[in-house]
Amino acid sequence: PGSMTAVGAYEALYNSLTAFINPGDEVVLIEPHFDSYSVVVEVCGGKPVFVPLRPGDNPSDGNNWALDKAEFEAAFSDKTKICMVNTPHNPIGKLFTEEEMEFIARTCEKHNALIISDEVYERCVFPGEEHVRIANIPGAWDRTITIGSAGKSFSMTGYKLGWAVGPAELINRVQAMHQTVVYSAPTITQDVVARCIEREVELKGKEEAYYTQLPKVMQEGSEILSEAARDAGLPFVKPYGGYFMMLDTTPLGLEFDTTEEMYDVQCSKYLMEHHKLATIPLSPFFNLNKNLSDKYVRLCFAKSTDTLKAGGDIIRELKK
Amino acid sequence: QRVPAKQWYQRRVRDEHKATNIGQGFPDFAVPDFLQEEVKRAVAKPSANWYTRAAGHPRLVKALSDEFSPLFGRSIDPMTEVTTAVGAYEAIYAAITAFINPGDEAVVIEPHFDCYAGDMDMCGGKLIRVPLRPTGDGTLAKNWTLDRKEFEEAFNDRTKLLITTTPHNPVGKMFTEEELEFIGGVCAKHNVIIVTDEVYERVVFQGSKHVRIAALPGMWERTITVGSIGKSFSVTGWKVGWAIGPAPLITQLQHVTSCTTFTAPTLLQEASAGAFEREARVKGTPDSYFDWLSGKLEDNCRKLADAFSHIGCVPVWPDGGYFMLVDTAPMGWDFSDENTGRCYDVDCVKWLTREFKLATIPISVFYGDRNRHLAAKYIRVCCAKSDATIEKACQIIRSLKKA
Repeated sequence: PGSMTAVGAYEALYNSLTAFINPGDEVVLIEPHFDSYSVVVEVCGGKPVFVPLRPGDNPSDGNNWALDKAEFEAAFSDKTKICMVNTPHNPIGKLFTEEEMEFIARTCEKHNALIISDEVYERCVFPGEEHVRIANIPGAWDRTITIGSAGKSFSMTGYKLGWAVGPAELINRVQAMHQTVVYSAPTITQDVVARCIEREVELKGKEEAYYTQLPKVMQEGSEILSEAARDAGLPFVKPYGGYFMMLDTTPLGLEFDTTEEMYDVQCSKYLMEHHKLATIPLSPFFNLNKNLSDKYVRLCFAKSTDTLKAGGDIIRELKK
Repeated sequence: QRVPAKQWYQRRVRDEHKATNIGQGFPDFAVPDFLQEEVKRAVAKPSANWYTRAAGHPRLVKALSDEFSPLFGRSIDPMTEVTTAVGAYEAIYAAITAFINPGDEAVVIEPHFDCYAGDMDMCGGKLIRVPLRPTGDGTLAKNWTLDRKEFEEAFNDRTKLLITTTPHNPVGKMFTEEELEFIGGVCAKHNVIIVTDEVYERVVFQGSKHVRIAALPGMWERTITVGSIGKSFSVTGWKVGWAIGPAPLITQLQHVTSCTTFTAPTLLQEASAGAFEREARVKGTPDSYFDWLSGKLEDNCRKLADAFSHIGCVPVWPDGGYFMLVDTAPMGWDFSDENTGRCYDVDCVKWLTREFKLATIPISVFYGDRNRHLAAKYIRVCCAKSDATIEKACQIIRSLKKA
């Protein structure tokens, strides 16, 4: 297998997309999605084709947000170069199942599309839940670039060290792009990350392993906010991993004039100005299906207990 | 799918031949204590673990503004007229990518650092090369000059950028104020943006002066000046660089870096800020790193020049920077019977690496096809090396007399 290091998973993503997209190529993006995906696709002259995760009958469970299979297949054409997948998913907190990944992989295979799998939150999967790597689906390895992040795996985002792993034929191209953009990532940060990973390999499965601790910390964090949301009578989307959970602001009964600006954007501003609570609106993560963002704002539970408790207190106050 | 030349070089030079490396432009001498201290201080701060401001770490952009405002003769706004990047390398990528659309042209003075060509290719742009040619007796880098008519004719209505480097890699020339006024005048006439790569600005030999084109009258508005922590403090592994210029231009670079890396690592930006602050405190005193660096590299260069002169080669004495060209023509070395199909200097460099374990760099790789012949029989050596490397290199060079 080939691997390359990058200045954050962010740069690995940029390299992976720019290495393969020519003007006119189509890229299937599952939305809501991390904003840089569509920006970089467009910078390359590519055309993003959006397919939503739909909440279905039970929007309160992150794993229930799912692709409509016919809709997903219809998004592919003979111009489709790449399909992007993100699991654990930002912002929904969904974990794609093996069955879902098999379906995605088969569709990509049928249309000879590459798969770029953004797995930066792979070490933030809640205890007992399963992280499925699409590169492990039989037949998918040869067409898949898997991206990871030291920043998210070790809670050291400021180090900006990420990587791409996959078959050498694909990774060589990602590496060539990397050499054009920055040439190499800083030596010190790579050295530090190497040592961190070596430590985790030694402590694998043990209690003191960071990979054992982090999922617990993330789950506990999400529970502080979930409890506050329940107390406030605000529905939320239960996450199974990652950093984020979505809060439904409908019960707050806020009214905004939405001719110029989406509801959730205004709601987020309102929460900041009137309640000193910083959240992220969901609609910017959607390009096509903004209606699905409804009245959600995104909360981040990868914060200190103090911050989360303070946030939880504010959420409880919203009830009034 | 080809192994990039630099990787090939590293594998052969370091791993296979274990050659004395006076080729590549990275220092191998010890990092001064104060830099180690800055890194330790930076690592210990909790904020080192978190993302910093995308446009540049506040402490660093302030330090850069404080340092460069007097050097540019203006008050540089750290928040809008400075952007950081992952090495000057990324700043150059951003500058080219920000402004070049398919079909646009950029004039570059050759021989030139290879990344400019790759960046232009990625954007569908065309590089128009104008060469420096040796004049006089060929012993001084300052006498490598542009043919001014040739330079003016390189510009047309498709020209978007001029890319220039001073101190120059590989020639070692530092452009004079008069030369830069001429260059700036042509750029102004054609409304072209200037990207000036000044990574070696801290290595200035006696009698020379580093002139910043952005500081010349009327030039600020169209100039992006790129700099490097790696080259200023001999810490190329830190990969911290920056671009300074007017807000409308700098904003465009930030659009690019917001797609490529978004932010640069916090701890190294923090340490870089500390390094600049420290330099400001000891400016003009014997503790100044920048003064030491210029003196030391000039010393090293003198030693290499003497060794090459001793065997009959002609060194081209630089004004500053990391590099020196050496004319090997007087040696009468001839590789034509090997029928490699490569330029003389490539064959020469490989031969020196293989047979004498001395690594240098061929300069034909810094030229486009049309003017490659100007590379003639020059090779490039790097003087930013440890005493041990320089001494060993001189030993090997002197032994070449009989080669």
